Amino acid sequence: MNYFLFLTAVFSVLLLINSIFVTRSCISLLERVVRSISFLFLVWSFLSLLLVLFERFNPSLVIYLTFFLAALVYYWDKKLARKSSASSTKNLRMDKGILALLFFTVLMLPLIFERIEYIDMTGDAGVYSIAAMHLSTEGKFTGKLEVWRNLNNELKEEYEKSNLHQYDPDQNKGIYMPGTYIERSEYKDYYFQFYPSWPIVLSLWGSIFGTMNQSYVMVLLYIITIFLFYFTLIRWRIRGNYALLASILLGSSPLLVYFTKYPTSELFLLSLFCFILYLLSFEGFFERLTAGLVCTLFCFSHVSSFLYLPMLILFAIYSHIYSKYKFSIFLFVSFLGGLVSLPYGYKISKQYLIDIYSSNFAIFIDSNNVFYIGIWIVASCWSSGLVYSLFLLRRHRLLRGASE
Amino acid sequence: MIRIGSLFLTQHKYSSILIRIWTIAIILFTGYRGYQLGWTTKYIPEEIIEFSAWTDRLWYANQGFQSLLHLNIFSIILASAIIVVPVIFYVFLFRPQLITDNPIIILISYCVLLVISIYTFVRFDTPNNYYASRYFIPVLLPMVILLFSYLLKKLRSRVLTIIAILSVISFNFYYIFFMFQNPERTGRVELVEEIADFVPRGSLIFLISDTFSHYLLTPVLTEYHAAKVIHLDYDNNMEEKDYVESIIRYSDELGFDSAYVISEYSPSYVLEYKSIDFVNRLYPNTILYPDEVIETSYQYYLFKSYQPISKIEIDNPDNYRFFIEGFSQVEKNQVETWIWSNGASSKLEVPLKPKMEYLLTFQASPFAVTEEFQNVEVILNGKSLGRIEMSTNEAQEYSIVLPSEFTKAINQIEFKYSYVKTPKEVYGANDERLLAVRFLNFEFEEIQ
Repeated sequence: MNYFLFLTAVFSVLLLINSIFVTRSCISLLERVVRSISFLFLVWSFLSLLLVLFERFNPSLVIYLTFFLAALVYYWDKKLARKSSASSTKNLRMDKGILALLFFTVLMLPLIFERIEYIDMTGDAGVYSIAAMHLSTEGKFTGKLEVWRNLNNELKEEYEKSNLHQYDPDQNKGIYMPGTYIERSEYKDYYFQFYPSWPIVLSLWGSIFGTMNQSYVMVLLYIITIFLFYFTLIRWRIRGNYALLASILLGSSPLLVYFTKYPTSELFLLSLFCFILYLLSFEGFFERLTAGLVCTLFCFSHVSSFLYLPMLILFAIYSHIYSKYKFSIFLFVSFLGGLVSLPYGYKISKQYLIDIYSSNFAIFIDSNNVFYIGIWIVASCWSSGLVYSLFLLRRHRLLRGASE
Repeated sequence: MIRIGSLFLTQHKYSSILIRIWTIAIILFTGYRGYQLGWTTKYIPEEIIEFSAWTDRLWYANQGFQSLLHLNIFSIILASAIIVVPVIFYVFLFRPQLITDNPIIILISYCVLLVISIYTFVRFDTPNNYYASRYFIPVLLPMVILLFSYLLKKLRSRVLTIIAILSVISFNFYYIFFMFQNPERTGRVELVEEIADFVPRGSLIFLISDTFSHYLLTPVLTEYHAAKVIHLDYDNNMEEKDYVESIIRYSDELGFDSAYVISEYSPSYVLEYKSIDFVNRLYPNTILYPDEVIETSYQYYLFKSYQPISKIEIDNPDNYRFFIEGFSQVEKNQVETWIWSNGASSKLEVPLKPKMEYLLTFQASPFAVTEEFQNVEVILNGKSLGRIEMSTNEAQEYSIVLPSEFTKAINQIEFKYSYVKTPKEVYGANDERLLAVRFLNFEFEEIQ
């Protein structure tokens, strides 16, 4: 365990707990903690995604930079003295529901603590785990096979036969391990399937607690998710026992429990989704902007996020009809994030993007250019949503200007 | 579009109609797909795609009612404690007014229908649980439970609340507790750490195994232990010698003096090895949540790879393994150590660099008899290389070239003697061994 990185991360959370973004409207200490940790993951992820893009990812650097940013926010917050009264100690109470949920979570801990040690590349979970280890050591999503590069032609052929899968040197295509694509160049031999956000989180956790403990981050994500879901229900006026029962229904789903041990990205995506719902339950501009950023991260974590695009469009129509223009910033950032995730995905995991779009759109479109048609349709939808949200944003500004 | 949206998001009457129609469409389409899946061959795959869960359709398509369990809706119901989805469908069909009085709940209802539509119209079946049903987790699961909690609040039905609690206790916790008691895919980190204890970081490792072990060990040893791993397919028809040859060729090409081997067979050319038992525990591929664990045992042998040798010192017991046939026990006095041949021929088995020319030099003396000189024929891997005449009874150095075209990774060097005598016969001693030559050492010098 790297104690220094651990303390840096803990201090980042502590700084966030006391910053205006967290204290403004949170009711309980636990909610502030949950929200701060969620923010921490968000900042970690975006910084890391940027570094991965330039093949300079370094977990320690990300953790230190996040601390620096948290300290800046804290300093800025204190300097402007904008701390709201909501942060006073009277608001640090815990109600019965929170205590009951806390009891449930503690009860669940031993049941979710055992890890599925997925470190082999026979399935998606292994691809994520190995990609996380690779990111930690190499700082990028591509890899070189030094052995392959240093063999003579005769041995190269033997190596390719026993170590690579479906490799075609003429097409420069094949598979090194399930979940990797071969594309040889001077700088790389293969790259990983999937988007890198989830491996980034595993890698960051692994850098603090040890590589073989990287998937324990899921225990924390599970707890955060359950509480975010509960707080959302409370804020949406589904109070009391119903919110508690719903949170237990979610937290005790065997499917969710299994995927709390199994390191694919689903739990991470669920925590992002619950964070979006939670943030949208607030009135503030900052929360709606952050919800948009979380939605962007969702798109940067899940290649099939376009499947949920109709939900965003429906939400935009809802905002328009009910004049809820305050959501326009969330929609604008979300649509923009979805659009930007397309070139990002193409740059980071090209063949994966092609495979997913081709297989999904092949159900409806019978064409050799199914990928291009699919990506064009999705890009058009994201763009239309973006334009529509710009229109809503303009209305929001006009209305606000008029009211002022 | 906005006007249409306005109609269905605000006008309760139209919202109710749309929700009903949409729900019925989902049910009808699910039924249609269920018929196609269960009673036709439409979804039996024509080609098997490796690593794809959809290959399972081979087993579950066209199986009548059994196939219906693979419809997504079944797994969605399992994921949400059985009770949640039926209640939502009931409300959508028969009591939509419960949701149409709240705009945000109408929106959530549409979102639920949208996501269920994805898993009805775009993807309709789940090959197995839990693995293939994970797509329901990020959005669908929280949405249906969120809507359910609203309905609980609206209905204020104690019966429904109690059923939900019972579902959690009897269904959810039954499987969670099974997982807790019977975890799968355990012992892997321990396996890797045991290997890492034996093999130094950054080593060249040869993995002689099936595909499963290749996918299990190669990536993690590469990333976690900075190893350079070369996989050699384990094949029952291949002999150990063939692997040794490959290993030496690779090591030589890559400039590694030493390498490590992880194999699924026990090695016979090395003195020391470590064996590790590994049990692969997996839940079976099943559409109902698994309640058993399948175990497969593996045994791995770890050892330092076969090193090409440059000499055989007789006084080193580690070298006795090279004397495979036609040799006596090692003997020694205060000055020297030697080994007598025993029989008409003797065989050495030694690892050398394949296709490398060597000068074999050995110090030896014949079992002296007065009437003739000892004449030794040297045979390398079945090819006669010539004869060495021992014209003096004193220990002397004799050399012979081992040509590159005959050297392999593991080589049999046979010495055939022109005569053998027993000490009993020559000196009347109580020794009935068939002696020919006394060897004091062997050296293998590479000729570049």
